[in-house]
Amino acid sequence: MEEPADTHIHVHDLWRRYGRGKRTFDAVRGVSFTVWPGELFALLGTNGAGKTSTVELLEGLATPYRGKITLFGECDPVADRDRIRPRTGVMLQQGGFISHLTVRESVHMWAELTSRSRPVAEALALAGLTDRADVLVKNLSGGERRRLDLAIATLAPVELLFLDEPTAGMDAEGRHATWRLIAQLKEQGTTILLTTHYLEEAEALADRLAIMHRGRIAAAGTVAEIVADCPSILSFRLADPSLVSALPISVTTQRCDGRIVVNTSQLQKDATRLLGWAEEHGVVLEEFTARPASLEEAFIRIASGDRFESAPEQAE
Amino acid sequence: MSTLAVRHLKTLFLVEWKLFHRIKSNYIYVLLVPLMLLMAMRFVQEQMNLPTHGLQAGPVLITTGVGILLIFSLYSSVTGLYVARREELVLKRLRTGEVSDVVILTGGASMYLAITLVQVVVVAVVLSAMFGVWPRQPLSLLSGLLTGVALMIAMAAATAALCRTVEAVTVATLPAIFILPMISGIYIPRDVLPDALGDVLQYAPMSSTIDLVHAGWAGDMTMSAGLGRVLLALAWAALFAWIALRRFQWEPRV
Repeated sequence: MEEPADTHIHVHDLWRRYGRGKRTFDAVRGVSFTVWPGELFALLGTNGAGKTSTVELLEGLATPYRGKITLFGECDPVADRDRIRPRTGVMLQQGGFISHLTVRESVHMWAELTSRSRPVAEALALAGLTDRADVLVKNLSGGERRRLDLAIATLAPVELLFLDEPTAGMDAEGRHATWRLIAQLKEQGTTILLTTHYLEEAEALADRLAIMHRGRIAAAGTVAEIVADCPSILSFRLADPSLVSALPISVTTQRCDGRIVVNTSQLQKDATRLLGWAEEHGVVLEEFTARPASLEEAFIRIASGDRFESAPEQAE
Repeated sequence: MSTLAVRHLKTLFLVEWKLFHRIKSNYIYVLLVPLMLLMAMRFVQEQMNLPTHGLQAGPVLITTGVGILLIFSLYSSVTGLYVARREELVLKRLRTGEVSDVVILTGGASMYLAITLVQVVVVAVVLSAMFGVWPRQPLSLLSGLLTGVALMIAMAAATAALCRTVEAVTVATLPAIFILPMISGIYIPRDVLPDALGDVLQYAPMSSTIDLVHAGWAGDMTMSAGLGRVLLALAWAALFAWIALRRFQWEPRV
């Protein structure tokens, strides 16, 4: 087990159980990972994968059924709540705002409850809510509520920020503005733990990520490390479909539009063989592409379960 | 209490104060309903022939007023507040910040507590002037008010712990709104009831508070009896606080 002293988040064999007696459900099953200071770590996963259940344990909103969480190298999220709170910012998956307050009143209330808060006007401007400051929270759109949530989570210059699906429900412009703000916070040295459904968000922002599936971490590492475990893809079209049987490599899929797809763990070798064969036989490989797997393909592969039920990887 | 906690408490108090005025129906429930109930009880108690039971109309009606205000303005309102804020995920969100759990719960309740205390003072002063009676045992009165406040807030937290939705609050508070005043001497003084029944009902949750408040004006309670009533009221408050601690949820149940 790694020493947590220099980490901002250290999680070891974490379990979260809902229910009692015979009606129990383990939403988080033996998760372990580490987040280093200044790092942006993303938790990806399908609905019900256990992302929010894990983050709530880290935020100290629930007690683990089993396992250990250490924040800032020495603090327990529940027992040391008073010490942790001034150093952390939290954006929940769902608002938690008083619907009959205006946006400005909500931010003002939170500014009064937060040490070292930035001025309300500045927080509103950062979240792009200045024009909506006098609107009641109940009249905000879903995306605007997420921006309000972000404004409150980032009111103070914290060391560790938990962002649970920060761009859910935002339009493209709002999402990119949020990404810029998150990148800016990271540049300032804030450690960020982010959960998201958007793979491009994780790809754009995360230093490392973990993909959760059924309560466990099914894959973890940098984007390159995760996709390296998935087969690369050769794709082309044959003018004469009858030549398929003569190909020097085995075909994974032949689509109805005539496109042939080959999944391979030896991209360079198989591409060389295929191109050599085509040259030798005077065959034209139309629309030929050769590329490594994308994060999306790795994600779908994990979500479909074909590499999961074996031993789960850890993200340390 | 630390300076930070006081600042948090003040902030939550002011937010609830703002919301109280923004939602006009609050005026009706917290201000008008207790007043109308008190007027109705004045009529009912006139039929009870209180002097034949050794009771004076003034202290009895003042005690009724205090009891009604504790139940309607404090207990019922705070129960609704806790459940509504929990449903909106406000309690959960507040717990992600620097505010302690105790301040989260007392912060919102403090606004209703302030309103209740102002109402109690107004009702007590007006009725005292009307009946020409003034507190003879201020310590009993103060003890009654303090134990009443502790009991009502603990009961509110316990009731909120048992409610899943705001709609459920209406049903869950019914026993306290209808039964508690009947058995604790708020609507009908226990001295008017048959002795055996009155003796049993002296142990009801609010009976001690009501006895202490009544003694504040009537001046008929010994120190040892008063101490016993305070201990019984605190025992009830502790029981409800224990239920709340065990069962209170900070977010809606899934």
